[in-house]
Amino acid sequence: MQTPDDLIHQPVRLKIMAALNTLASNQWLEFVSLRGIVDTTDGNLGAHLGTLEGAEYVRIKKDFVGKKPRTRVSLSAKGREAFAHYVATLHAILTPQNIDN
Amino acid sequence: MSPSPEEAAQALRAINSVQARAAGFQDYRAESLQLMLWGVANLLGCVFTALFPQLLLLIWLVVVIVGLVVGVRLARIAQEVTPGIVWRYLLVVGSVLLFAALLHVVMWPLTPKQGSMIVPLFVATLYAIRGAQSRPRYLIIGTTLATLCFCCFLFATEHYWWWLAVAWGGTFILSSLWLRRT
Repeated sequence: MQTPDDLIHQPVRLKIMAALNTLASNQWLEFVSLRGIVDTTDGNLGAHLGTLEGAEYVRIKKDFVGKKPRTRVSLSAKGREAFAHYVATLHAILTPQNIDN
Repeated sequence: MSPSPEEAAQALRAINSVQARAAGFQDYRAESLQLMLWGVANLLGCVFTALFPQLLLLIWLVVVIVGLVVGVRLARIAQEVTPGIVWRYLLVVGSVLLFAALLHVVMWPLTPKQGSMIVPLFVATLYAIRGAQSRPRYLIIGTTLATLCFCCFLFATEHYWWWLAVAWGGTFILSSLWLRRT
């Protein structure tokens, strides 16, 4: 039986990946918006994004809108592929022959 | 270690739930821009009508044209992500305007006060239907808009257009800010 990617299989990181996977490849999501969707704290989200960025699953862009700092996040091609593979693995676990085993 | 089928099913449910939430969030974000635009446009339209009632037709012609031009520009921003959004946007706004025009013809003669209820009540109904089908915040926006505008029609005998500016434009603007909150 296949084992899902441990990096994604953590609940908060799973939510981050699932949320970012809804965006088009050239689209970015603001940190505050992602925090609202994932429903977690700034610190927690920042830590998990750091882990995903280290694995090159997400890209993080920091800039300014006027004088206000803005952080935006996007799923990398590697991250999109890893997430697709992760979902496929979950589906594989739920196939009848795997459930019977 | 490989997760159990229960854990795998739970993870898939979590993914679906987050994806629905993210899609709703993006939908609300896109809608909030249009609500702000038409909120300001309707508010200004009502205020100018209150100040220059004899220019009612000209005022609303300008409001609709300017609103439509800016609205299309806003829709174009989303064109990359949602192909065909500009044409769908024009179709929706065009349908609202056509409905208002046809109802004026069918019910003619209408007083300006009666005519002013057609668009907000129709739009409120569209929001309520959309809310009942998919996103609950639209149901609240539609219900609030209809209630406030209809109360305005029934009870605001003096300073009608000022009250309508608050009820119609104000509801749109506040709804826009609300939709931007996750």
